[in-house]
Amino acid sequence: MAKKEVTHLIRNRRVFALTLFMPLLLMTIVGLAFTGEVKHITTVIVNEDGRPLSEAFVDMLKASDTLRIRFYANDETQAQALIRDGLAKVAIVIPATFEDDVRSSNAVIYVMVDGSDPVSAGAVTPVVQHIALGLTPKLRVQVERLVLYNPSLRYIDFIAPAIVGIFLQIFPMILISMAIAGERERGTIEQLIATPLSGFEILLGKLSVYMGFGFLSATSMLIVAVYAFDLVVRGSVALIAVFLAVFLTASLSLGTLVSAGSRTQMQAVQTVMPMIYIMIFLSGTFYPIEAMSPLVQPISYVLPLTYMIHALRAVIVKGAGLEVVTNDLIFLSAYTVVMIVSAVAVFRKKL
Amino acid sequence: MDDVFLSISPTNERNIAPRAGRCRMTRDVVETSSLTKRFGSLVAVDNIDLSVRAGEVFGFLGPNGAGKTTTVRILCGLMAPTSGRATVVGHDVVKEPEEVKQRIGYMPQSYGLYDDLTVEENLDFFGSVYRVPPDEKRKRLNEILQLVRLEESRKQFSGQLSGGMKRRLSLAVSLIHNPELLILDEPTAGIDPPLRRVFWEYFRNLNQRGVTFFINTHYMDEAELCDRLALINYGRLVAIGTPTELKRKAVGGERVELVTVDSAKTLAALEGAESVREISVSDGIVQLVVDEASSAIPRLASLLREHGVEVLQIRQSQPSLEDVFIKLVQETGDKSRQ
Repeated sequence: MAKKEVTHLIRNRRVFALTLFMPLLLMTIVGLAFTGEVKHITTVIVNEDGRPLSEAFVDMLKASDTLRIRFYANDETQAQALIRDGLAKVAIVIPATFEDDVRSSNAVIYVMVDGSDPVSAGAVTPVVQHIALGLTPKLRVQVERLVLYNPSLRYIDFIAPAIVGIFLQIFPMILISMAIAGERERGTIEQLIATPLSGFEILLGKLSVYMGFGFLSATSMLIVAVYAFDLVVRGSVALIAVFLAVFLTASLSLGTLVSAGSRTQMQAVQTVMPMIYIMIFLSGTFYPIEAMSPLVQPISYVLPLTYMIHALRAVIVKGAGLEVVTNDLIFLSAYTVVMIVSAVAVFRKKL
Repeated sequence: MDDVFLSISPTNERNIAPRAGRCRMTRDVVETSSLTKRFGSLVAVDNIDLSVRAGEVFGFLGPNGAGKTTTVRILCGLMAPTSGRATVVGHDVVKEPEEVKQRIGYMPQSYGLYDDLTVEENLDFFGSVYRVPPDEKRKRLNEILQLVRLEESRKQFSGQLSGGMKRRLSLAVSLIHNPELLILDEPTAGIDPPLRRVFWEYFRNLNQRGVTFFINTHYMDEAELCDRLALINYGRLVAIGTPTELKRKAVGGERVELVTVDSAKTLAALEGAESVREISVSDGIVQLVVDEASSAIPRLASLLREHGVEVLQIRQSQPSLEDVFIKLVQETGDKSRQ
């Protein structure tokens, strides 16, 4: 009996690969993504003082693994703009009177964090405090957190947009791939392609239904988040809708591609599973991408979900406009075009 | 039970005129030339040339795996041939598959309808897919349900139907857009004899209204009911013709059975008789193969009388199509091994 079962398992290559490689893949991804400590948080420095002591402090900040200093801004407003545009997560402001204040033991460093990313925000503060202590061990340095957005730093604001993105990535993809593979599995595909309907019409019929369904789900999720959990949608609803439409099309097309290689619904689901894990863990949903191992970061940056979540967080939580999320929209649109063209090409109306 | 059907409609009495509003470019509804389909090294369909005339019931007969389903799928535009051409209802199946699909009905071998739709909903769906106007669709739906006797089950989910009812629904779906050619892939496989009989009543009924049939089968009794037959084995066309023609071909003439008192004496008397091609004896019955039974029988009878042989019975015997099939298939089997 066991021998027969092993034979089944080996013959079914997809399941075999799944059982063999999935655990390894999953552990590797999680290990690489969640490095245990948050590192390389993009930081902007505003050094209003500029005297040697402040420069020494900046050098110490540079030496930290946690921070990656990418920008130097002239004033707070500039720094805030960088954070609002998503280019930096943290701003460290050294006031003009820093050196004097240190002498009078009354120094204050302002740390401004992007409140839409509580993980980064939470990690930076103790690190900066630690470095400040290293600079003037005898003197008291006060680090103040100025939260730019999302002052309460609630996790729901961070996670709600991401969940919408994840849902739209996964469920429409699974549903459409199962719907198409199901036609094949039940044998209805033969009767269907014997009709004068074109492959495009068949695909369009299916896509439009799941498109509507996806929109409905996303809307209901946001409504629940807003009314039950006080999520504040700061940005334009129309812009959110544009992102939903583009992203839904892309994930439905991906589902169509998956179904092309699957004869049964089971196979379709088995193909989707590993993709889902990678997407969820590497898209920056729970953990900032900057903090992940450089080995997996390139994967993060080709996942459409990464851009979708970035854009949704920017628009919903920060109230960002189109100018901020243009890059996301361009990437997602390009990806969607590639996906839909491949899906139509692959969904050939032949047995 | 076969005689019943054979008597229904002789070919020449059938209405083979094209229906109003349809212009038929050729009298051949199906025409293939050097049609070939390869799957890797397997040649599923090997250089097949055949033609099906408007208004006939054409049987495509062959053992399992002979290439019947593949051929039919090519004719329906579901699969592209590797080489060769096929024209169905006047359109090339590769170049204009949608034209072909709109005008033919196809009933696949395996049931392929939506279990979670009702009988009516399935018909309605396929009606819209074939762009049957709503009024006409409603009318046809009722007519067809009546024809296949599924009126009482119209609100049932098709997943709940019995095997035979599913087959009937499958046939109904292939009829919804009033096709001029019906391509049926083993329509009666796995259903009981009474229902098969009912199916052939439907076919004849539709055929009398001008629908041409292309039917895959491996049932001999069904093959007898076809106007013309094509025999296929290992993907190759073995023979084509009316059931009578095929029998003649397999036997090498026509068969005559002789029952006499003394078979040894009979054999001696028939020695060297012209027009007798083969002689064999089994269970005291003398089997002869002659060119034409109707003219040979009186001549043989008088010849035997001259030799003083008392003839108890002399009659033409029909080989069963099964024998014919096995014989012709074996011949090609031998050929393919050479």
